[in-house]
Amino acid sequence: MFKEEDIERYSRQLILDEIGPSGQDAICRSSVLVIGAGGLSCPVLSYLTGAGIGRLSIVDFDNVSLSNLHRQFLYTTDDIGKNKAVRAVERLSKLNPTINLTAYPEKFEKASGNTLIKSHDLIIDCSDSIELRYQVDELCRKHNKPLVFGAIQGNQGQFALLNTTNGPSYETYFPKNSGILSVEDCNDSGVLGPLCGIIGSFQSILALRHLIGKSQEVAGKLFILDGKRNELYNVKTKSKQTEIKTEKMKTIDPISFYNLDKSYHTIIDVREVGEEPVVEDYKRILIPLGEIPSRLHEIPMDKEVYMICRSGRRSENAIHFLETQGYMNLINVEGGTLGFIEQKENNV
Amino acid sequence: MGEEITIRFFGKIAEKIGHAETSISTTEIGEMTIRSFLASRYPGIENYAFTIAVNQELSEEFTEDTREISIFPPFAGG
Repeated sequence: MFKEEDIERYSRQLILDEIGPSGQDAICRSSVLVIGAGGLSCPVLSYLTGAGIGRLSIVDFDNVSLSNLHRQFLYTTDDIGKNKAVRAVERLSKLNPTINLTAYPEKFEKASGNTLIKSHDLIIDCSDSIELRYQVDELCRKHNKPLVFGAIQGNQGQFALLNTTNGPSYETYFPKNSGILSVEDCNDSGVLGPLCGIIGSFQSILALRHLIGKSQEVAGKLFILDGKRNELYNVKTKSKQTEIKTEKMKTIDPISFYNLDKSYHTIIDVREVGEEPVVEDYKRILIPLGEIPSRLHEIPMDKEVYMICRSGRRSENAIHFLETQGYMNLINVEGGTLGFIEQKENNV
Repeated sequence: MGEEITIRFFGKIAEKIGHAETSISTTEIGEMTIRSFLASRYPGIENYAFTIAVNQELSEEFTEDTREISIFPPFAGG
């Protein structure tokens, strides 16, 4: 699977239990888009190139300036005035000539950015404006692309792996219009060079952990590093269960369920096999409550599904569980089969 | 008396108000929301974009269990 040279090149990460041949294979097959080629990107690009990302793309319209060099170590004094994305690719291709590197020396705009985001597995935001961060976040959500964002301010930094399955987005943590005044970028507020190195390195770790499928413990959390105290602080969203408890479960009353044209709907009965009362008026899928976790593949996510049991209690429990698994399309049949039979008898 | 709560400020917000941490008593918040309490103690802060976390979870709700409130703006630099 790997060439001899690759085995040697990646040997120090290949021997890690967490990576191994399958993790390395996942890294080598992945495509990553890095937005911005400045202070955060220098460590991100270096580590990801070294790690063997299959296809790595860099977008930045900016040119190298003398004031960048204290933190943007991919560039030298000779690079001043040259495009960062182009120079970065030239430099990185010497670090690892076996990977596919592409420079996009252009401004990240919504239209071209849309195509770029769509065509990569993972997006890394190393930009330097809040407006751009919202744009990238929005496009990542649109195309279901995981996003590793990083940002710095003075001697502090923020980073997170966002937009993974059911995970929070940048806008979850930073809702738009929460205040009319924003904070300045590092061009006018200054930044300590190594801080970019630290935050960019954390972003690289999140990216690699995501690509090898080992990011469960860090995904969705926002990390804030205080470089003055050397402290790492983290914030998470409220747990899924808490959110669901405050959200009202969708239900249907026995009369509406009785009158519903059931031939067009999926109905899942969570009672035990052979349980009374037997109802043969509609087609149903029988999945006893205890078997639900192992039979998720039989429960559609893309259309309304009515959940029923004898009285409505077990189906409610089933919905509570399924909502933690990402289901948002379930409707509880109040009164269950008992309610249905009562309506049927009333209508005879 | 009330319980003591720590408020942590990050980024430019900390620079603007002049400290990164402070302690208050729950009685000082009283019936106010966290945002209105902050606006009353640090006039002008309400004009800035910032997020509030309670006990390290995204929330603006002040409850009996609240021990720590953190205030952080989005950082721009890269």
